[in-house]
Amino acid sequence: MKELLFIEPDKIIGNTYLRYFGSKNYSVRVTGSAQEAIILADDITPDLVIVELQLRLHNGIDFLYEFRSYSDWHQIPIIILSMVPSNEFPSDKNFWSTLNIHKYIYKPKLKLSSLLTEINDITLEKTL
Amino acid sequence: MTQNVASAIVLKRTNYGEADRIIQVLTPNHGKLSLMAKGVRKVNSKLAGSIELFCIIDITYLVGRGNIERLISARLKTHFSNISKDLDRTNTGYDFIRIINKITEDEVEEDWFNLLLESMQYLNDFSINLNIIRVWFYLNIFKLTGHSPNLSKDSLGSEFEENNKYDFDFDNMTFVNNNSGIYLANHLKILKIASSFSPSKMSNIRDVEKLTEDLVPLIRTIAKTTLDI
Amino acid sequence: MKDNAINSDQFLLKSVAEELRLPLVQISRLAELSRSSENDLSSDMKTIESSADLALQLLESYILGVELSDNQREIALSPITIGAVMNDVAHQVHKIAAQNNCDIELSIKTSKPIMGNYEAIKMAYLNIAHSIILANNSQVDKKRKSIIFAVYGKGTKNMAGVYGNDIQINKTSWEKSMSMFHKTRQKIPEFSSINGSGFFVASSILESMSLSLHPSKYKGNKGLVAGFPLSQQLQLI
Repeated sequence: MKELLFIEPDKIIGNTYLRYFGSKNYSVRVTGSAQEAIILADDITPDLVIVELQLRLHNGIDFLYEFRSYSDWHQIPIIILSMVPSNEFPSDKNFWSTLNIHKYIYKPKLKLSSLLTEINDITLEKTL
Repeated sequence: MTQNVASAIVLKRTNYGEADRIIQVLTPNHGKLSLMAKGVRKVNSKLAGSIELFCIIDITYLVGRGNIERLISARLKTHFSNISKDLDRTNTGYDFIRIINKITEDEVEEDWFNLLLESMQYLNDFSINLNIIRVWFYLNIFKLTGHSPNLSKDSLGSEFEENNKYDFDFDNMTFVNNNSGIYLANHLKILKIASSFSPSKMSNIRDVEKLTEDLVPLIRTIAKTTLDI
Repeated sequence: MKDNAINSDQFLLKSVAEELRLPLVQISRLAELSRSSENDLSSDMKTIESSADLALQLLESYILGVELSDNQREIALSPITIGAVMNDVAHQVHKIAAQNNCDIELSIKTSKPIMGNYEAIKMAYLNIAHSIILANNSQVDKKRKSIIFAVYGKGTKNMAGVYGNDIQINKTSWEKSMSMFHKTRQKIPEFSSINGSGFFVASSILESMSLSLHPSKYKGNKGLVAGFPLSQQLQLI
């Protein structure tokens, strides 16, 4: 069973991920904390990480730099799924290539079913 | 083996083996160092620990024969925690660190450490507009690398006029008088001030936020073409 | 000055619109989940209802703030006790506080009447309370949170404040946020997981009544308070 790690600060939204993707044969972990996400990743080695940028305490970017500093996690695909619209996030090529971000998704625009398709594609890619 | 102590700012962290990490730091008197931190497991690699970015740490390390020294202890001295509370500042902070890491060699002078330190202090202060900090940072990078644009006179050697408009000539690193140019004399004044005054002082200048917002794309392009950063 | 006022209104509107994204995403995802699920939906429906109510609350407060500041609506004043308003607010946020593991405490030390508009003041404090409760709506927090509604006398004023045991806000950071809210995405960095526009909407409602919201401490808890001048005429009655 593929492991998904969501870093999502909102309990209601986090819970919908847990229930929805859990019912689609994924093993799902959800946390709102960047630090806890590192600990969980160490525990389960996720097949895909989906991260919101606006967190409490540390933010999603802090998490991404920390996560990518571990060479055994370099190839784990990462999706940014954020309330911050991509055009409001002034990042350049260096950001994407340094952190090896697979995709940036604006959260309000993507339904769970479409997110499932994206996740299925990425985890299937990983298998092949 | 000699033991050294130093203040340091963390530039980069990469893991090494099962439990060790290599930390690259910038120090005022010992330049750039690569340090091996042994036995730092992932679950202990806390983001709130002493070896995280946007911090000044006091380090003790053993000077070895190779390129990597052995870190004995690291104590958190200052944590610029406000930077992580704002996404744009976090991204800018990582960008500044990446830039300084890229353009400095091992034997770096104290000026680079001071530039990075002051950058983090300003990023940590929400009352200072981010674009002001960006313009200030890049102008100081140009100053330290000897790649400052000509801000005294225009391409024809004339003084800058209040009512003129200017474009930037990247080949000659100078401003050219052009009726359809987008930069005014006030933009040029800001660039001049940025390499000599702090962002806090610059914040008091009228319209500085709009002017620096206009200038950021220009200085980024200058940085890309002259320094490939 | 006029240009600044216009920009400020636009930014407040944008800020409110951004804040509405979260409850609407919650509703949309829950509704989608419920459609695809065969389980009992009543708990999901309650959550959807709660998210929708919060969104509506914010919208209504914003509209009120705009109408009051534009003089489109008259502020009818009558003798009220602030304690009654706070009591009402505390009851109204009871459900959302429970959903967010937040205890409610009431500390009403005075019942001296003031001249005020009950509904407008209630709406302002509802926004403050919701924002404080939701600022802590994170999967990070494991400890029990609490929110305190306090009313006490101070000189010639009744002070009415909302405080939280997990709030970090002070005079400097509040003033910076108020002056910079139209310049930054994260309006109040101390509440990095929420937009914080509820505070600005509350502030705008109170400002239209010549009242000012500012940070304060109560029994070691930090929060926001406004001072309501006592009416000399009412004192004589």
